[in-house]
Amino acid sequence: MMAEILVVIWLLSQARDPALPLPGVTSAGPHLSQEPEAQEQGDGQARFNPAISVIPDVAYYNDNRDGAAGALVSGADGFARHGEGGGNAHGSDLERGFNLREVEVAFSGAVDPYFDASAILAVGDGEVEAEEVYIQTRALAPGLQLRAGKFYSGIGYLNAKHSHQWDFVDRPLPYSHLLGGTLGEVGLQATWLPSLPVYVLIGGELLQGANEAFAQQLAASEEQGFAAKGGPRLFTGFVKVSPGLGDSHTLQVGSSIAHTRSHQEFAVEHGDEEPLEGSGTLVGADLVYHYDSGKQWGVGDLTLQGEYFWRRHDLAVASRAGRLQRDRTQDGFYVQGVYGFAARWKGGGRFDAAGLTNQLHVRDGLLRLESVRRYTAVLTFMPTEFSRLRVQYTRADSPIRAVREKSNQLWVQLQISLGAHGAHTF
Amino acid sequence: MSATRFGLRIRLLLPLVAALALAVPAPAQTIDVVATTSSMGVLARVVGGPAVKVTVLAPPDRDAHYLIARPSMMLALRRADLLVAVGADLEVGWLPAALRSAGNRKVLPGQPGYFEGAAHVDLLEKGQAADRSRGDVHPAGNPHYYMDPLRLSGAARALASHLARLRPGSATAFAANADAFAKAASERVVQWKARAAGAPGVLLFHKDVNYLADLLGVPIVGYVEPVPGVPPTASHLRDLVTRLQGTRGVILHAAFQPSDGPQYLAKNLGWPVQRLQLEPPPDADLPAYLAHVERWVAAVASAK
Repeated sequence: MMAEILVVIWLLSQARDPALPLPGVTSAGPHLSQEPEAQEQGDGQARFNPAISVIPDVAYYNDNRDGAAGALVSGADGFARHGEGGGNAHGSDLERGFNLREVEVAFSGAVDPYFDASAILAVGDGEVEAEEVYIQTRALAPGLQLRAGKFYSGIGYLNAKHSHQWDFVDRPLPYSHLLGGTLGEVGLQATWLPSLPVYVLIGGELLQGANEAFAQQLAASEEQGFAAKGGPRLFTGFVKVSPGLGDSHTLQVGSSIAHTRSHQEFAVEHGDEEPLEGSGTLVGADLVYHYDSGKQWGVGDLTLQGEYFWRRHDLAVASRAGRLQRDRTQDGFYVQGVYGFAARWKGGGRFDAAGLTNQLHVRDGLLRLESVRRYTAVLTFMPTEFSRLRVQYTRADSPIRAVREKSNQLWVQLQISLGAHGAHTF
Repeated sequence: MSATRFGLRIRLLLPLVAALALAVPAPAQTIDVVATTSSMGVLARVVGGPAVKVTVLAPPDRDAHYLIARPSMMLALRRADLLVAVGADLEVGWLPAALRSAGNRKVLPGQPGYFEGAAHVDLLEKGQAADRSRGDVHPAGNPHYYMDPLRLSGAARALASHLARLRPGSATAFAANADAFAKAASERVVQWKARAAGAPGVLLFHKDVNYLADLLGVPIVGYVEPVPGVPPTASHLRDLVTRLQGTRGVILHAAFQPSDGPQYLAKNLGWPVQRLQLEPPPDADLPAYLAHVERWVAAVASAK
């Protein structure tokens, strides 16, 4: 595993591709100096290396269901996906004991006067996944920015955040159950920040549409009757508003919409596989409030946030025998709070649920299913801003074939950030 | 285009409100300056005079190392004509992110609208090893030079020529303002040096008053933090007491730094503690800034 990471880092550090000549970066982060000191000869090209950081995420995990607690949550009635483990990119299904959840390797810097670039690779389970690889315009027109490549969509609040920016070990249920973890797609994004008295960010995206839970595209085949639909198949829009509330209070409210022209999947009905196909719409609302006490090491800081997503799939059985309606409507939300109760210590709680509305049209008619709910407590110790040790306990109550399955899960997580890592936004 | 016109309309509205209150007509078109800290706000205000309107991002009662890139910062940067930053990685945790989200090409590093004081100041502790086992180190140098009015007035001269690129017609006024800053600062520094002469030494919380100690020629005998960015531990405080027992000095710390460590040291060493704001008020002018530094000078001299 470490050897693979080192090879990736070495390959990227050797890159002389003109697409990635990034500016010299000090170990403390992106260099802001406008008139860099004249440096000695010999390391000229090396100084164009991007800011590189390596973020390993190691966790001890245990539960009271012989390691199956994660599957009980992801396989809740109405959300189980055929052919998929149900786990998401950030492994809600961990093995009991020690796990290397992933190693995030991030590169960032300026390409040229016109573009910034960012590449975030997740190394884990013997494979390397490009979580995000994109370029972004440095300033096309005042307040207007374009992003192209693979990136995490701007919908919601948590969607674009990577695991090291979360306050909990895992993503909340609306993300894991309605978006398969996160909406990360290949495409184009435009955001505009107009010059108004309050912060208003408006964004829209044209995305290819490959999200397993929302906008999946399966191989077209005569036998299964799936139609081949070209991209972009997925469109999103979002707006974020933040009124000025002084130095100590930050509030941001957001609203999002996503629509896919195509979603294809297999459902299992009475032991038969049914190929389903259709369109989907997701709408969401999010609210984040942060109180900055002004004290050092996060003492007295408070963050409250909540998000709600509603998703509808207008699906039908893809067969020549006529259209059989299989639409479904589902939703999910979470509310959480995190408080800095001592220097470098944060404690928090979260309640999340999916399927408060959980209606599926199946062969036998309309099914109204129950919801999955979780109660989570978290305790985080941050020795510095570059390392954190987290303990999380989750009590889940999940409907599996109409039986309420309860489980307890425990994580002890260690996350560190090694190297130069760019600053994060609110 | 319409966005610019809309921004203009707001920019015209704000001075209008101010004019109503002060009954003074506002200058026709001011340069919209965003300063990262209050000290840099002073710098911009003193050098720019009536040609600038200054917005300060970091609240003066907070640690400018650890801010969050808030939407309000992005909005301010979105409208700015000029960004005046401390530099030397002080704002590295939030300014690059806020700049990235602001989408304002004018104020990006390397553009005429980007000014970083640290690039024009002789920094202390330059070229430290980039090794985080030694805490939150700044290999570019100690960024807290704004506590030294002489160094800040050096940055003022650089800012004057920078502003002249944005408003060539006012170049002589900017240069005169910077000279006035330098003159006022050097006059005060003479008095301060006399006042602090013979001060036995200062025990700082963080490496944030080093430039003033350097200016006054007063030795720094230790730090409350074991390494920069790490809260004091009991063993480190005991070591300080053992090492400094029987000597004289004063413990200085910023208002946002917790006072339990300094109080413990004060009790065990019998030294006075001085707790002061690290930054002047957000609307400070030159007299207010010099009065602010003078409070620190008085604190340094209090152990004499």
